[in-house]
Amino acid sequence: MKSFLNVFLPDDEYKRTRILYFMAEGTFISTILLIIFAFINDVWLELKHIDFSFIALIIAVSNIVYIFIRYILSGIEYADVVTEKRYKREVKIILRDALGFGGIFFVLSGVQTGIPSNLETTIDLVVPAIMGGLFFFLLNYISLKRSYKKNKQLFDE
Amino acid sequence: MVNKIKLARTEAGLTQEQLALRVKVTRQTIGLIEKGKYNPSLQLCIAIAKELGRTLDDLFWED
Repeated sequence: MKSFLNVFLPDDEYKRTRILYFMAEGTFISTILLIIFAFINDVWLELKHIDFSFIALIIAVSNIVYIFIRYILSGIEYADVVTEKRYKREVKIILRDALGFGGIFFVLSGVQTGIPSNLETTIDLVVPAIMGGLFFFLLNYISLKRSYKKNKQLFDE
Repeated sequence: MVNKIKLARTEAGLTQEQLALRVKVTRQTIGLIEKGKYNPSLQLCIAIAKELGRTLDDLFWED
């Protein structure tokens, strides 16, 4: 089927269908919430000067986060991981990538803010990089764990 | 949807991974189809039937 969405979708038809559902769910929920918000604002809040950019950003980000969380929890990302050996190898790859992500985050932050001069600025530089790397690892690890569990129930050996 | 893909695949001497590679889907998708947890498109049904040397009736028709 021809659609500009094809650019964002994988080739595998099961994954493709699931992701399309996540996108549709996200859009549906956003629409319902917007209608509810418009109704509440009309009846009770009566806010005249709403920051439109802020509302638009919240809707866009929450939509993306919803799709992302559903994707992570669905266990479809690591579709071929079934043996313990492969699982452990993927954990190592995720760990390596997370360290790389944290490292790049640290370097780019350092380029932007400059070399830290005291303890406070050092913490400001190091902590977000560590948190970023940790977050990256956790999201990918949860996705791997869910995929592994799902695959074990589906695969022959 | 109940199907006989797993039986036909083992009779053809193919693993899930080999069949997945041949019909260009993931191994997870083949596993889900075999368990009846995902209904494939007609296009994929035909591709699987061709790879296994069976007809659609052989694989998907319920007696």
